[in-house]
Amino acid sequence: MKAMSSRPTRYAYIAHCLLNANSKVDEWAPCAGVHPELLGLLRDKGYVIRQMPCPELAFAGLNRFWQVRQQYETPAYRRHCAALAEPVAALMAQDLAEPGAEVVLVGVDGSPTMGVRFTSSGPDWGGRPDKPGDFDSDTVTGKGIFVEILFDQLAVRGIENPRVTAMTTDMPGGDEATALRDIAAVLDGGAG
Amino acid sequence: MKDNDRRSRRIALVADSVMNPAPGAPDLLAAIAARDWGVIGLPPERLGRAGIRQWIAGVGDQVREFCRHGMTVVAVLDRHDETVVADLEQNLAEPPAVAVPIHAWSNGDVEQLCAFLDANATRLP
Repeated sequence: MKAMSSRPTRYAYIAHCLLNANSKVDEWAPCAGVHPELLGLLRDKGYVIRQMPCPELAFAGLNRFWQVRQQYETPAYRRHCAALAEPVAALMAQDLAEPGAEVVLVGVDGSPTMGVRFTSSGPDWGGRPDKPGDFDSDTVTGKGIFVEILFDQLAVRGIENPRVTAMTTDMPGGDEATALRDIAAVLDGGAG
Repeated sequence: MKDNDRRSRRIALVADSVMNPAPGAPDLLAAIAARDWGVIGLPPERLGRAGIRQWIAGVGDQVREFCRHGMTVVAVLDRHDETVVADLEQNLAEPPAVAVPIHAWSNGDVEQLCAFLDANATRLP
């Protein structure tokens, strides 16, 4: 629903798990459901909320292991992400067709799927059974697969990449307070 | 590895007008969040029939995965969203069909919504 205001509408496209922690990979849900502080930020700053799908949930299931980008880098997963991204790109195009409208994408850095600045990499990581304990991966610069495909689809439509920001609590050393400050700055118009 | 998983195991599908309330309308999403439900946002009607069908197909896959694992899924719908509601009902009826209790709100009554959620809530694990 479009806010009734003289200001151009601002849209926030949110990674699914930030509004539904039930979709997180096993053992990684930081809250019960909706991230409360993020919802507060979006409301305070007057953003229309668009929740993106969780590609990993439907593809690999709820009991999936924490995986790296290399494991999801398959033609089948890319097709799955492309199908999910298509209506998201279409809606974003509609939103941006409004005069002055802005879009910010809030992803999950470190995610193999929803990372916007950082994703995970681990050429020899195969899953939990043979490597109990630490997640044997590196955080590397790059986008997650869904975000990459979504941006490709936007480019086909002649749309520039939106500004991006992300929750960083899935990354080594990432803390929520810092992430929320960064998200707030981008929502306020800072470079993303 | 983290061992403090806090998921509630309950999810509400929510209409666009719940996700983005009109000015002056009660914030039903905040009420849902305060009761520890996660949400799956449904698309706005303006996306159009083809886009809505694609979007709902993804929602249906997610709902079935949650239900397969015994999680609670409900829907808080806006009956003005005729295409979204029709597509969702059709999708959820397709095999493997899933039964999702529906709350169709009309006047943004927060008390009625909370009663619906509480009646369908499962215990935290």
